[in-house]
Amino acid sequence: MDAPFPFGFPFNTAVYLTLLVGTWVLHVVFMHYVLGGTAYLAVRTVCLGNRAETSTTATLLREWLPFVLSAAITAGIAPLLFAQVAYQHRFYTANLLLFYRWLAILPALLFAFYLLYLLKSQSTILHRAVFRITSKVIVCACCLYVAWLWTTNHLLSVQSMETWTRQYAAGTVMYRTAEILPRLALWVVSAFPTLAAWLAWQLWFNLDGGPELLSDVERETSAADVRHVALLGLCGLVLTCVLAAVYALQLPAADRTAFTGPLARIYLGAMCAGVAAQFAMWLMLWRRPQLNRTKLFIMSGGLAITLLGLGVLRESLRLTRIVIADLYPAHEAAATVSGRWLFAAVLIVNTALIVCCLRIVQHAREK
Amino acid sequence: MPTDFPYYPINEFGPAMKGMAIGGLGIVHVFLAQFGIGGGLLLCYFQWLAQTGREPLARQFIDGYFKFVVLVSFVLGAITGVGMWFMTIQVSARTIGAMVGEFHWVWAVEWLFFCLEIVAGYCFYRYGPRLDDRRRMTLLAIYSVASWFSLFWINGILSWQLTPGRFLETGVMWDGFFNPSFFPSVIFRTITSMAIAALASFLVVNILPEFDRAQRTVLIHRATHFLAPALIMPVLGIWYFMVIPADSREWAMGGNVPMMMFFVLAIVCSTLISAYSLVGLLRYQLYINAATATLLLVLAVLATAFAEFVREGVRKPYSIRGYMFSNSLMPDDIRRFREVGCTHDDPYPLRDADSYPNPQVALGAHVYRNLCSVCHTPAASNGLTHLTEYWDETQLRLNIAMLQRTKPFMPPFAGTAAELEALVQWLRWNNDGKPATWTESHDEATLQQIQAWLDEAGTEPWVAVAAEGRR
Repeated sequence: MDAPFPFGFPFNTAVYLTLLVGTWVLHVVFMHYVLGGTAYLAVRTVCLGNRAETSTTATLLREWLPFVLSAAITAGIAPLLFAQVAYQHRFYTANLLLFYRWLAILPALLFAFYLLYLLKSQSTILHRAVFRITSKVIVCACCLYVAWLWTTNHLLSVQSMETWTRQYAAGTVMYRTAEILPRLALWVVSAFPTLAAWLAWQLWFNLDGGPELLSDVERETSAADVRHVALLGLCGLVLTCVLAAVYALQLPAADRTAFTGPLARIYLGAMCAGVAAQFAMWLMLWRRPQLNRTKLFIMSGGLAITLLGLGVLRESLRLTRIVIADLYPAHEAAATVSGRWLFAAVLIVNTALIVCCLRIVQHAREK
Repeated sequence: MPTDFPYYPINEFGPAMKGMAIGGLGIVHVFLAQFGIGGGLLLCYFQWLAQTGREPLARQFIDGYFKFVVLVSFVLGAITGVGMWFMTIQVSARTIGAMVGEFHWVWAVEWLFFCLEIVAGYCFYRYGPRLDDRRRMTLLAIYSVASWFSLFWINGILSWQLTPGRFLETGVMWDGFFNPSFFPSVIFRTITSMAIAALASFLVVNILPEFDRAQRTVLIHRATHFLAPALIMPVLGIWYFMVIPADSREWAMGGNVPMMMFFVLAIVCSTLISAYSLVGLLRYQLYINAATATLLLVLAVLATAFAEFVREGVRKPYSIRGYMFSNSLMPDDIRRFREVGCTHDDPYPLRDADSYPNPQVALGAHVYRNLCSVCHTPAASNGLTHLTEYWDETQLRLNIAMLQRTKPFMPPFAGTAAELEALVQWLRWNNDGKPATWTESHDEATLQQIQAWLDEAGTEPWVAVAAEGRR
């Protein structure tokens, strides 16, 4: 492949891969908030005990995590769909090989969901520190478990038929490979810069003079909160870069070319620029903790480019491990099915309606 | 004929039939999804009552009820929805693959409505109490329309499975989507959703502490209006039964005893709910307490369960009528497997190959795994032992070779004569209590007889042959 993603592919393959990456990035925006947010709450409550409850960031997370988990699941449906179109046989095989361990995603998510609502409700049961700490740790564990399963599923789906048959014959639903841990660690730490960006926007909306976002969150946003979020973003970025390097180094040399080859090179460059933009903004905010639109937009732009680059790099690595040309006929066949114009039309109409809903909410906040 | 059959690793669900796993999850999901859809419509109605001054309590009720919609439908409904997808992959990856292949844009459109539903729903949940009536109605209407459209789109795909209509000739997605049972089922499901939402509201009104007995009575009688459309459900049911294939209709009308029983039970449960609601609540304005409301809701769950069982069951021997059989094979696959065998190219070995007394029995176990295990277990639910233990050897061979005639809701056997004989030996070995030794059977005359039976039965399902005969 000697053209940047997705231009080197036949048109139909390019369409499905673009939709997969695009919707996956949307999912990651929410998923990072949940993964990073639950980990943040759990670590904070274990380290600080009762003091963990008083911060604005913790309150924001408790308030918003149930909704964002819902959004993450909903946004996750589209990449799930396009992954089936793009890599049907591989995706299904990995699902089947992991069997009940894969299906355990459902109770884990369900448990996490209701515990998050419990945390949000400030139920009397949570007045006892042990319940409070336990519930946050369990929520975090559920989210990490789901992340681990997705990582395993992805890695298993790019294996050869020999690996699959060996795995099946062994009768195990565990798939062990040295790649899982560094990849999972990378995913977890890369959630923190996204989480920090979310929190910065939420703090900004909560500032005096800014439009109020949360009626029930303390409106006293201090410089300390902003610095705290900036530090979270900075540490997250540094750790992400370190773990990305570790992950890349433990990959076989042939796989590493996925990142530097023509398919992804430009995205790797854009990603580095995105990381640099985020880093600069977080550093500025840490030194002078005053939020404003310009800084937030630059930082969010950097984040968006980084996540898009991440999505393409992830896909490029997958594409080096499989023979995508084998799937071209399937993509061509799928493309003969009607409905893409309907999808485009509904996308426009529903986006307009979503904007309409948000404007109504804006009205309520201003009121 | 295809040569690149996509083999998948096949899992055993222990004593549970795979259909029970997907059926159980499906019933919960359908019920919750319909509660969410009907809930949106009910709340629009109450908002209209509130803003036109017809019902002062309506606004308070809406804010209380919507919390239940979020906690139950948004959470459990969303997760069971994803669960349905994962479970369908486990049961029949090829079926869901075919559905995704043919309808991925429809599914993508449905996803856009999910997104809208979630945004509108959470906006209302969070800011609804602070909004004026016009804006509340706007949010509720958007939520309601979005959730109803999610039903609209998925209904087209699900009804296509039973009545693909002109799709089989044209291959055009819209011919499959607007299939013969699309409209009766979408209207039927809409009315069911309204009824479930009303029944749930009876319970919610009793749970919410802010209302006294008199206020609850008022709200219950308002919500009861949502049960009135249930009066036309029998007409819709008849319409639905008129458009589904004749053999499917016959299964439910007595051709298959369990199917008929579930069909009758679905009617009985629905009738009991309707009778109580229309006579007791609408006509005599009775009060309904939490216990009775719960009982009615349980009846509604049962009605949903029985109806979904029938809807799934009457598709047999297909998972997608005229397109794919319930064991994930397409008609061309059957023809090919009759020549080369269903195990010949399967890359996935038997996990317990050493536990069989000889290679022939092991081959039989492999045939069972590939062809039968999607609906049967060896000796538990829908167990083959229970179904075949009193058949003698010749009967086993004949009945399996002519499977589609033995039981018309079974697909044709998809393997060679040697594979069929191996399956027979595996069944006999199982039925005899799995002895340590077992003699192989390779009698040439027997294989020739099996082949003659296979040839006589052909590769067409009996329902297709019968339909041809009717024409």
